[in-house]
Formats: sequence, C-alpha cells, structure tokens
Amino acid sequence: MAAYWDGYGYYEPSKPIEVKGGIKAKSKRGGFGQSWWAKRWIQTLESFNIGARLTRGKSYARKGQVTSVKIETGLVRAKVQGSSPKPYSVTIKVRTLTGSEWDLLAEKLSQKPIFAAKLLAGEMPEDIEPIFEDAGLSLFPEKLDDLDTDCSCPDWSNPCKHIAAVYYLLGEEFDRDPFLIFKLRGVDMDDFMSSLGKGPAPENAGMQPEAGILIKAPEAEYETGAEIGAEIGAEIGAEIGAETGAGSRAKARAKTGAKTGAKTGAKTGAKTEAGVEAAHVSPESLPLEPEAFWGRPAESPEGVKGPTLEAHIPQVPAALPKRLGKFPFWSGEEDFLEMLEKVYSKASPAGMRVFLGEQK
Amino acid sequence: MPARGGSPVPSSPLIADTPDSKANLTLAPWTVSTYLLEAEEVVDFLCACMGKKVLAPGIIPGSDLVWWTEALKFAGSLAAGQKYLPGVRVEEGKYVAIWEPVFAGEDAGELAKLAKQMPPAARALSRALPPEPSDRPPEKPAVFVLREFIADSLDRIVRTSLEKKEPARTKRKTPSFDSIHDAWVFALHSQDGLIYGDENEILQLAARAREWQRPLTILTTSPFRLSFRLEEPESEEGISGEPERPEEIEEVEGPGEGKYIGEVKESGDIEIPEGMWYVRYLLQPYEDPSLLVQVKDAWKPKKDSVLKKYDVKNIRQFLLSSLGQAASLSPEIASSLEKPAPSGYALDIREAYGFLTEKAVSLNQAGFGILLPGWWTRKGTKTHLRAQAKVKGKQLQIGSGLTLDKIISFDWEIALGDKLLTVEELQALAELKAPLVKVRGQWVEVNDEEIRAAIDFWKKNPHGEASLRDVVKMALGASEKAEGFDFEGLSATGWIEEFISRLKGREGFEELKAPEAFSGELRPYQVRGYSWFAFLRQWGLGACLADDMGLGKTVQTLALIQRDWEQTEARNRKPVLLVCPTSVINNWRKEAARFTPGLPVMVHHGISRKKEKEFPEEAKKHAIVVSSYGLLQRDIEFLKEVPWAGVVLDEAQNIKNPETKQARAARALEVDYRIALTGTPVENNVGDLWSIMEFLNPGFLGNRASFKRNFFIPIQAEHDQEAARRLKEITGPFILRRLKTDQSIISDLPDKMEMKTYCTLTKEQASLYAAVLEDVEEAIDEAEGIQRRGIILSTLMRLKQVCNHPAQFLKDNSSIPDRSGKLARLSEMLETVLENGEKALVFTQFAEMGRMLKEHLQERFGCEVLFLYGGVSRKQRDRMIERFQEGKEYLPIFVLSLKAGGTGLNLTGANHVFHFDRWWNPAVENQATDRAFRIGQTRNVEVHKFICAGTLEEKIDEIIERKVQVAENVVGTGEDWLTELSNEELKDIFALREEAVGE
Repeated sequence: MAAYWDGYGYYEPSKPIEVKGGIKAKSKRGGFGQSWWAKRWIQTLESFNIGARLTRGKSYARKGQVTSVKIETGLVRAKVQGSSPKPYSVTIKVRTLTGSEWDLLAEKLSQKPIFAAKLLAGEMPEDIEPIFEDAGLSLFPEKLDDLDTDCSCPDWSNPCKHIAAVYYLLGEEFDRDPFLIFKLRGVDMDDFMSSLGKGPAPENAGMQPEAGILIKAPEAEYETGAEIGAEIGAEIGAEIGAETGAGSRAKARAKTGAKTGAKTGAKTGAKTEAGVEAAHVSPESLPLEPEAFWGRPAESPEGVKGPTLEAHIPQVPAALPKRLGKFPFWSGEEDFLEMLEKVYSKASPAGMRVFLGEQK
Repeated sequence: MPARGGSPVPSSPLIADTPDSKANLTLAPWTVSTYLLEAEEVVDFLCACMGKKVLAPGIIPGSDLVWWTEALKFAGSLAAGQKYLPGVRVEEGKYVAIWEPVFAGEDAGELAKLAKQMPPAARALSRALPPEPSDRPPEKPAVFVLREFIADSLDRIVRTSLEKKEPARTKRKTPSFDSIHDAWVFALHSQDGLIYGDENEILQLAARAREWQRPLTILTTSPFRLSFRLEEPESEEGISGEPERPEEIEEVEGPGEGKYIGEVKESGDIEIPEGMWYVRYLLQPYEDPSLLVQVKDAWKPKKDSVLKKYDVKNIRQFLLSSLGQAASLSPEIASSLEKPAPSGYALDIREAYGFLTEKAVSLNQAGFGILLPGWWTRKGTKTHLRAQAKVKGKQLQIGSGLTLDKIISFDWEIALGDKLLTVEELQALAELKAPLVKVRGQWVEVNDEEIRAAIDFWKKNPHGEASLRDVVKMALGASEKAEGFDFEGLSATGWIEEFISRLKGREGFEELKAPEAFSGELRPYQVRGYSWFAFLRQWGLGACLADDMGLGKTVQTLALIQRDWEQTEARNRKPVLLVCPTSVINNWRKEAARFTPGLPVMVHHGISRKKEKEFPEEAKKHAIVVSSYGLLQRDIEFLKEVPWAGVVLDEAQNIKNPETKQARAARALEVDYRIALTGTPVENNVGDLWSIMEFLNPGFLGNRASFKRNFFIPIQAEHDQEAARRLKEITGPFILRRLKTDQSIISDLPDKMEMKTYCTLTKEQASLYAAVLEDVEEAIDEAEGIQRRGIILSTLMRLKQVCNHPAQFLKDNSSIPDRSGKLARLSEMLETVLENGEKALVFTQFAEMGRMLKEHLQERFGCEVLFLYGGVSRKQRDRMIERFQEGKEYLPIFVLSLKAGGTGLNLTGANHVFHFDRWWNPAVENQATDRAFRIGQTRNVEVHKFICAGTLEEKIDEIIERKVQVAENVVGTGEDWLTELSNEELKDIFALREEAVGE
C-alpha cells in the first residue's frame, strides 16, 4: 500500500476499496443532518479544524465506506473500509453523565411534559439545551474531555477522515432518533422516561428513589442478550467479548463464543414477543371431556362468528411504519417507507378478500 | 384424543356412536393420517370453507375447522388494516424475512378472545411419529398456536399479493445483494422469504428491526387508547344534547361561557354561538371502551380512580409518548404540553372545524381514538347543504299509462338540513364565513365552497328534468355527489308525493279485489301482497316477495297474473315466463290449474319441448310458460324472442350469484314487469341482494363495483350501521317479507295448513316405473283371486318405492343424491326450514327409506338427523324425543317411520310435518301429523304431503279426495280397495303420464 507524507498528514491513496452494501449517507451534497440537533452534533466535529479530512470523511460517508456502526452506552464502534483490505476500527467514546448530574436534569425536564413527549415521538425538544445549561451541563459533547475518538488507521490526525465519516453518519442517525444522543451520554430510554413521566407531582420532589436507575448498571448493557448478541458482528464480537469480558468466555474462545451468542441471541430475540408471553402463560393441557376436547358445535352459525371482528382498509397506507419512522442505518437501494407503502397498498385488498372469504 | 376402552371418542355423532364401554376416559395418542397443506393452500382452503355448514354433500366442517376459518378472517382483517411490520425470523437454522402481525388495542383483545374459543382439538396434533405411549399430550397454549397461525397466514396473504422482486444479481445460484437491506427487501417479496447474505449481517439486521419496532411495544402493551373528544361550547340553555362538560377542567384552559351573538339577517333560525370549543384527552381502556378516563387521573391518580389497577408509571409513559406522537400532528397539542399535566386544549370555531375536517382524520389514522359530536358523525342523516328536487304533480292518475320513463320536470331547491334557503340567505351564509352554524339548535357544517357551488348551480339551473325512475331513486336516498355538493332527497307534492309515500310505506295503495276468474279465497295478507304486486307492476317496478314458506307466494303471484290477463284486451295479451327449480314445475302447474283454471299454462320442459321458432309461436298462445333455471340458461336465445308480459323467478336465490349464466339470462329478458319469489330472508344477505335487485330494478344499487364499495364492504367488513340503513331504505320498497309469526299474519292463518307438494320423477325413476308396469301388465291380466290381489299390492308397493327413490326400489345401496324428484324437493324445502331456524318431522312408511333420508339429510345439512323406526329401543326413543324437544342442541330434522312414530309421541318442537310417501289413509296421516299439531304447539303447523304428479300417487290422491268429500274416512282402509278395481281402472291409475318426468 502506497502512502505518502504531504507535510500535513499521512495520506492513503485517494481511492479506498469500493464497498458494496455499505451504509450510504442520505445527504448527497452540502451539509449533513437536517435537524438542528444533528447539525449541532456535526458542528462539534467541524470545530476541530481537521481541514480536508472533513471533505474526505463526507465523501466516505456518502459512498458507503462505513460498513457497520454500533451504538452503545457512551461508545460508538464502527468499521470503515479504507484502502487497506481490512476495514479500520473506529471508536468514539463520549463521557457519560453521573447519576447526580442526571438527577438534577430529570427534575428540570419533568416540569414540561413536552420534553418527554417529543423525545418519545422521535423529536428533540428545541429548548432542551438551556435546561442542560441551567444544570451546568451540555447535551452535546463539546470539550475534548467529553470526547475520546480513536481509529486503527495510520493517520496521526485525530479525528481522521474515518472518524469524520462515522461522525457524519451518526448525525443522520440522530435525525431519526434523537434519543441516541441520550443513549450515548449514558441514559437508558426507559429509565429516562419513567423519571420524566413522574410529572410535576409534588410528592416526587427531592431525592427520588428511582433516580438511581437512570444510570445503567453495567450488566444492563446486555439488555436482552439478543440485542447485544446480534449487534456484535463475528469479528468485532470477539473484540468486544474480550474487552468487556462478557460472560465467562475466555479470550481465545471469544470469537466463536460471540458468534454463538449472537445466534442464540437472534433466535430468542426474534421470538421476544412470544417469549415474554411464555413467561406468563403456563402450558394448557388438553381436556379429557370429549365435548370440551372437540369443541361444542355452535347452535347457530352466529354463535361462532365474532360479530365484533371488523376489517377496514385505511385511507392512508402504512400508518404503522410511518409512526416508527426511518429504518436505522438504512442502506437499501429502494427507499424503505416507499417500499412499504407499496406493499401495504397492495396487501390491503388481498386481506379484505380473505376476510370476506372471497376466493381467487 | 379422548378415548374409552381402546377406541377414540368421535367428535360428532355423525361419524360414529360413542364407544359403548364402561372403561374410564383417557387421553391417548393416536396416529392420524394427515394431508399437509402449503401456507397458501391453507388460506385458499379456509377461504373456501368460510361460512359454510356443509362443504360438499357429506363433508361437514368440524368445530375446529370452523374456528380456523375465524382465525384466518382475523389474519385477513389485520392484513386489510395494515397491522403488521416487516421483520426477521430464524426458522430451522434459516433466516427468513417475515411480515409480522402487530396486535395493538382491540386486536390484542380479539386475539385473546379467539384463543379462548379454540377447540382444544385444534392443538392436539403433534408431528412426532410414531407416537410413543409415554408421550405427553401436547400442551402448547392456545394463544401460541393461534399467534403462530395468524403470523404464518398473514405473512402468506401479504406475500402472495406482491409481485416478486427480481434479484439484483443472479450470476450465482443464490442471489447476492450489495446491501443486507436489499437482501431483506427481496426476501420480504419472495415466496420462501429466505434472506441471502452474511449471517452476522443478518443478525445485525434482526437487531435493528427490533430496535426500529421498539416504540410500538409501548403501544401494544398498553391497556389503553388515547382518545380525543371534541366538546361543543356550552350553550346557555344546555340544549346541545351533548353531555355536560365535566366540572374538573382548570379555569385557564376551559372554554369560555357560550353566548349568542349576531344572528344571520333574514333568518332567525341560524345562529353562531360564540364560545370556545374544547378537545379533551381521554384514556379509553380496550377492555371497556365505554369507560372514558380523564388523563388528569393519570397525572395525579386519585384514590378511587379506575387507573389504580394498572401500573401508573406505564400509563404515564404511554400517555407521554402518545401525546408526543399526536403533537407532531397538531401544534395545538404540542403547545398544550408546555404546561404540567395537560388535559386538553381550547379552540375557536374555525379551529374546531379544522379539527373535525382534518386533525381528527389524521389523528384517527395514526391510531388515536376520536370522539366527535353525533351531529357530525351521522353520515347519511347528517345535516348538510344539499340540492333537492321540488316536484309538483296533480292528482294521482291511475292507469293513465304513466311509466317510469316519464320525464318529470322540477325545480331545484337548496336545503340546509330540513331548512330551505333562499339565494339571499345563501349569500348571507357565505359572507359569514363561519364553517359551522347552528340551524334550529342543530350544528351544521357550511362549507364555503359548497355554498358558492350551490349558488352557482342554482343560478344556472333553477329547473331540472329527470325520468320518473331517477326521481324515485333520489327519493329513496340513492344520492349522488356532483358539482361540489350533494344531490339528494325530494320534496314532492301531488301525485308524485303520493306515489313515493306509497312506495316507501308499502301501503296506502288500493286493496284490490281478487280477479274475477280467480278460483279460491285470498287471505287478507295475501290480498295486501297481491295488491302490492299490482301497484309495483303498474309502474314497471320489480318486486321481491320473500314471505315465509307456507304463506302462499304462489297464490299471490297467480292472482297477479290472472288480474293482468283479465285487464288486458285479448289481442294484447302476452305470456308470463315463470322460472323455477325443476322439482317444483309440477307444483306450479297444479297450483295454476287449481287457482287460475282459466289461464292456459304451457310447461317448457323435457326433450320434446318446443324449440327455436316454434317456441315463440307456442308461447304466445299461453298465459303462463313454466320452465326451469337450467333451460332459462340453455334456451335463452329463443326465450328472448318472446315479448313477455313479465318474468317470475321462483326460488330467486338461484340467481344470487350475478355472474352465473342463469342470472345473466334472467337479466337479458325484455319484460314489462319482474317478480322474484324466495322464502329465504334475502334482505339480510347483503352479498346476494345486488343480483336480485339488479334483476328487479336495474341500476338502483349502482354497478357491482360501486355496490361493493358503498354497501358490501362497509356493511360486511366495517359493520357500518348507516350503510345498512341506506341499503334498507333503497331496497325496502321492493321487498316484502312477512313471517308466520307476525301479529298481522298469524290471525289470518289456520292453526294447521295442509298443502300438497307435487314432485316430478327423474328420468331414471320414470324408466324404472315404466319397467315395473311392463313387467306386471300381463301378469295382472292373467292372474285371479288371491294371486291377482297379491300382484296388485306388490306392484303398488314397487311403484311407490320407485316414486320415493330408485335406490329404495333396487335395494342396491347405490348413491342417493340427484336421483329422486321427491328427495330433491324435500331437501329444498328443508333448507328453508333450517334457514328460518324451524324444525320438521318427516314421515315415511318404509324404514329403509327413512334410513336413506337420515343419511342423505345429514350429509346435505351437516347436522345430526334423528331417526325413529321399529328397531329403536324404548330407552333410545325417549332420549331422541327428549333431545328433539328440549332444544339444547339444534336438531332440526326428525325422520320417523309411520308405524313406529305415528302415534302417542309428543313432538311439538316441530312446526313442519312432511309426509314423504302416502298411506292413503287420512286418519293415519292425521294421527301422525298430530305428533306436532297438539296441545303444547305454539305455532301454526304446516303439513306437506308429497305426491309425484303424473303417477299413481296423484291418481289415488284424487280418488281419495273425491271420496272424502262424500263421506270422510270411508275409503280410509289403506290400499285394499284397489284390488277390487277392474284391470282397465287399475291400468289407468298406474299409468305414467307425460308430465311426470321432470327432465
């Protein structure tokens, strides 16, 4: 691999290895991120004065050189394909806030339900920053103390263009889910919500026992196991497995371990809903009584029909996915929601035909 | 399966009797042969089974299959309602893209309800083979089994509705993709759903998909729905009709006092109350949607609040996230969240209108509950601006040759609700620029554009013209939207008003006398029905008479035809085409001969029927041409050539499917009037109604597609009461259905109605009949004394058997369906009995015929048929009677052999008695009839005596009738008297006449 020294920094050949199916930024030209909070995030990067690396980072992000991004509490891990055959590993560490810092914030945030409501609805409340400032904090990591970035590439500059590319993509992801910023800063959404949800009721003033759970206990990072298991790719899975010392896996076995973990994780995960229910529903044994076993024949056809069951074709398609918003780190060729809209519009009449028992 | 003494207990007595063993019940594993269906086949199969009690003769869905069809319906409703999301699943080590159902709100309740109803048999099958005795019986909870089924079938429904995506690159055997997301999209569209890609990437995709869906878990796990209620300003008198505003609103946010200000000039009836409207946030528990909980209870729970039984923290989280989602749809909601514990927000009249027209719709689509004032939600009766025709007519001129094609001219008028407006008033309204006003205390929407459109339209077209047919349609509420506002309704005076109100009221028209040459007496309700027929016929409107079986639809129809015949000059007379099932052709012929003996009747049936050009020639010479549905379709080309006076469809449900050839043929005939007769409650079957109405009054319900859109889907799938009401309003004037139990009918009916049902023979029966005759002809001539007697009686017996069923005569256990005219007729009549939820006794003198009846009727109707004959033990007999009488199960048919069941029993549960064959002894028959017609019987009893026309059955019946008239019961000594007859007389009785054959 040819590399040269240009007096400013260490440069790779200008063309990185092409990646198929990488995460491509939605932004095609100009700035990144549409929401004010995404722009605020990117401002931080751009304030570091790293020159041409910003432009290259942007173009990496647009070309899809970033092959994976994982967001954890206080930590982002990404793989970026440069000119070296092996992708570089990028980590961005963000200082998580302490328990008492969050206590303070939570109390202030709870005064206006709009904060919680908007965040839950996928929007960053505009006047949230003053609240942070009131508490002597900032939502976006600004100082160098708040941020610790690293990349396995040979460039001495930090941030390098790989870090910049990841940073830009994160900006776009914050557009979709502003809560990721909170997650990065060490706050679990559910805990945050339950704290905010307390509302202004006076009995909640002062020390709140629940406030403690605002900060995640280390094991909480593993959430359902499925989540983590699946998020860990085989390769980095090994690294993470080793780093976090998850379970009792020995370093040597970490790779395979993570892989299996990932698999089982996905399996349980895929059945999460059913699984949750399984915890509540005990097995039902078959009845012995023949009449009960075979089911009593209905006395009239009306007896069986659930007269309450209705079917409606919505006027506007795909309300459910629209409520959920964009898919995280979408890299498909077709727009996700457009694809779904087509599917829903086609399947509705088919569903109605089945409901009415009409045969093809 | 539950087993006793080594054999499984059957699911239904139709399959086998319960094992007669004293051994204990056990759950034992059994190997069952199964046929595995693909998911798509399952969907098709269950669709085909939906709503059917019998799939094909002898194939009866078990209660588990019936339940599965319900489960599939549920999956269909989820697919129609778009309640599913794309996801990833691991299946037997493979990664599969799936469309996963989302059970939110009511659907979660529906799922639980359906799971509860699941017959355990539906989850008793395990695929493990062979079963080992130690195997534990399956214990998978019903809700799991159901959920899996719904997920699979929903996925299949969605998938098959999509076109397959072309894989990006197919150089290799498996497609490959640039992005795992492309692979996913491809798999979501493909048949097998397999995701092609790197395993780890797929796992990551699965995790992301879950992350993406996570906000929904708040929604799906909440026991509530967030609802928004729009509340009107409070009026001083509180006359708005809405419940009073709950007192607990904070002063700041509550609406101001309602007060009335400037009223519109020239109209004291229109006002705009000035006051604030209010949108209130409410929590609506799914398990009891009538309970509306103020959200303030969630912010600050009170001790006695219903919310106490739920986890308040979760409710708050649900509330916040819901409000957050709603806030993005409505800035007003967003700003209400700036203050602690918001419970709603106030709005002015313009904002209120905006809420009604836009916000409410988008909030509703996003899954929120919306509660709007009743005056807004009542679709059809909602007060709104509309154009109506003002028609003036003079006195009703009966018989003046008016038809529906007459062009009527009228003035347009513009009405707001029931208030007529002048141009000035309209303009004043337009200037007000208020979207909502109160007219006579009722809130009314006045849309600016509509007002302008109305003024424009009116200036251009003060008068209108339309055919009487269109005026009638308008009057019945078949509204049309055009030029920006509704055309609907009619204000008529004079004869048109009279005409319309008669049409709607189905009374008030002249009660006609029975036609002169009509022989027989019409009961009062029959006079009404016949007069109604005549009224509609006069206008060329089609009529459907759907009276209960036994009320005499035939008689009413014949009276109309007779009247028409009498009123028309001889040279102008045209025949009426009467189409009916083959099995009743003879019945019509006989009834016409009895009630309208003066009308020439032609039966267009059989191989020797007139065809092509001969047919019109012949038909023109008759008053009534009777034919069958089969021939209507086959001979339509020359049937069309006759100028018919009218066409009557008996058992009109035969054309319920508008695509069938017979339905098309029926519509293709050119006639002056159309009549449909049916004993089934057509008006309740939305799906079948269109075809019958399209035959009777083409165009009244719109074309088939618009009917489906405007009525079928709203009524059938959305349970839209308003659509059902509109349909009834449009069809009501053309359908007359009276029940035997109606107060006005019951007094006109005798307690016991005896009717003869004339049946036809099938070809097979006819040739067997002829063969028997040929066989004995010589023998009778030659034999004498005791021998002759024997021959005669055995011939009689054999001919009766042939008339009953070929298989009874041949004793060969051959197949039962479609071989006997009597059996076909019995099945048709029992079908009506069952549809009306009534019960019947069927008597036969032959035990073997009884057995065949039981078997056939069970297969045909899918329910157990009781059968009492000499071989039944006393204990069993008592049990049968108990089951039939007590009504715990619906056992609608009881077959009895005359000897075993003709006396002593009390079977008042039945109100129909069928005598399938004849004893020729009225006393014996009456005694059998009296099983149902006796003390304890609360309904009128109908007795149907079956006779094969053109055979010995008809002849003997005639002879007995004649003798009975002389001295009742004199001949009542069975059949012995026949042996005293001469050979010539006998031959005449036995002879097979042409009309006997039905095909």
